[in-house]
Amino acid sequence: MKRLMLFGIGLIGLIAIQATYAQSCRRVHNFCTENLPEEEQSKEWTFNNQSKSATFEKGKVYEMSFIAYKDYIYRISTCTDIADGEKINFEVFHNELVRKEMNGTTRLVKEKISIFNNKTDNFKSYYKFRTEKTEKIYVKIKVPSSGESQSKQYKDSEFVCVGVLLQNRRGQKVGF
Amino acid sequence: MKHKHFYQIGGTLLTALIFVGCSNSNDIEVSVKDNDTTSITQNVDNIETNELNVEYSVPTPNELFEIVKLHGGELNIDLVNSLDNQENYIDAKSKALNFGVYSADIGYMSCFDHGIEFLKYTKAIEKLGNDLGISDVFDKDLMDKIENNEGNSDTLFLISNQTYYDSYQYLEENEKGTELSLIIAGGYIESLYIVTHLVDNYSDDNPIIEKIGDQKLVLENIIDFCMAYMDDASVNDFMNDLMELSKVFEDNMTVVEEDSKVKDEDGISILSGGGYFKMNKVAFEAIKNKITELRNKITQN
Repeated sequence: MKRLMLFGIGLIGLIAIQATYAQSCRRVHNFCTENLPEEEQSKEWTFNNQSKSATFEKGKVYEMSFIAYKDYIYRISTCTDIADGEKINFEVFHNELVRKEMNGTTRLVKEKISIFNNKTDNFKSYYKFRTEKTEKIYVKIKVPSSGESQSKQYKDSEFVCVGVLLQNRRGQKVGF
Repeated sequence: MKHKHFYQIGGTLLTALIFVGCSNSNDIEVSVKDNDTTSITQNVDNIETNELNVEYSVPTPNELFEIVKLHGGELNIDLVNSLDNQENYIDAKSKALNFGVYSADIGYMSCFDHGIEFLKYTKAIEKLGNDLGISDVFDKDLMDKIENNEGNSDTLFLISNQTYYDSYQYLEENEKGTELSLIIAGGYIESLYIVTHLVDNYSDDNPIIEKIGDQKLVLENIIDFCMAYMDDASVNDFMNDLMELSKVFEDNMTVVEEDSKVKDEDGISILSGGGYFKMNKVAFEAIKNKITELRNKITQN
């Protein structure tokens, strides 16, 4: 019982600490454009409300999912608030419907398929794509394990801010 | 935000129990049709992650209305929820759901150049928002901006988009995930109700019907988002309705199986294949009926 109470107190403490951290990564994704090269700085992109910012522990993997509508061109840009930190590794996935043998029966399942890993592209901070049907997309970010958050609140902590900025523009096929 | 993952783990575990059955952690069972099998290749250098720590984003109703408008959708003012109903929303659950409903309504009206009632609807949302503890979003500046732009639909559409986003951010940052779940669900139900009622008769090549089918994916992300807040009775209760709607999509749409393809065109990856759920006449009618039932349940409280 005592052990259970200690676990409960510890858990509440952990949640409280993380809740405090959660509040100051507000809209970090808005700063992801700073990492983009000059040729990607045009104004033709529209901010997409599915962009996310989160507080995350160094060295861990942050993952988010969003919906990409058919025939729109999307640009995913990633960033953290670590000053001069190591480059961010991110990977993009989509789903494929596949049939799998499970316990003697064949089931149709969704399987995540990697479509881009910036490790193969010199750790480029963005990825542009268009889908020929509306798709669920996943972005995984390997949060750098070293470096300091620029936020005063996270200085000397194990936490940093992570941002995934989503922008889109119409592909040529949309509408009349 | 990471604290939310604690709840999300519980929620996603529940999803896993409901959907996955005996599949592995990467897979979600969708249905069983016949005995074909497809081989797939996996990237060997994937970033490893805990599948339970995924954050789910959901497109706004405005994004759907914009696309529907591009494909020839029109304004039907009779489809929006009457302001006469607002006095009926007394409990927190119906206030949050109808905050989402009215937010979708102002998005629809401003997208289709009907700015006349924008202010009245925003005031209704503001009132519901006050009761839900998000009065900070509706400051004097916002109301002034709306009054000064009455009749300017483009600006009002941007304002409605921004207000929805600000409300979302405010709720997320202030740990109001329960209210946020219900608002998102309400907005989704209303937008799908409106869009399904813009189409009278099914046809295979109607792009608006295709967009209705796309809402299956949006619903999946809403369900996964809401799972994190299943310990709240009102979310839990409404989740049953969302699950039923999800089943209507899944049981009636046609599964198309294709291999994934990725090609590069001028630095932009073009994704195709991968398999998907396709609309058909039966699915369209079943979705329209179900969404009407759910929408009436929310608004005629």
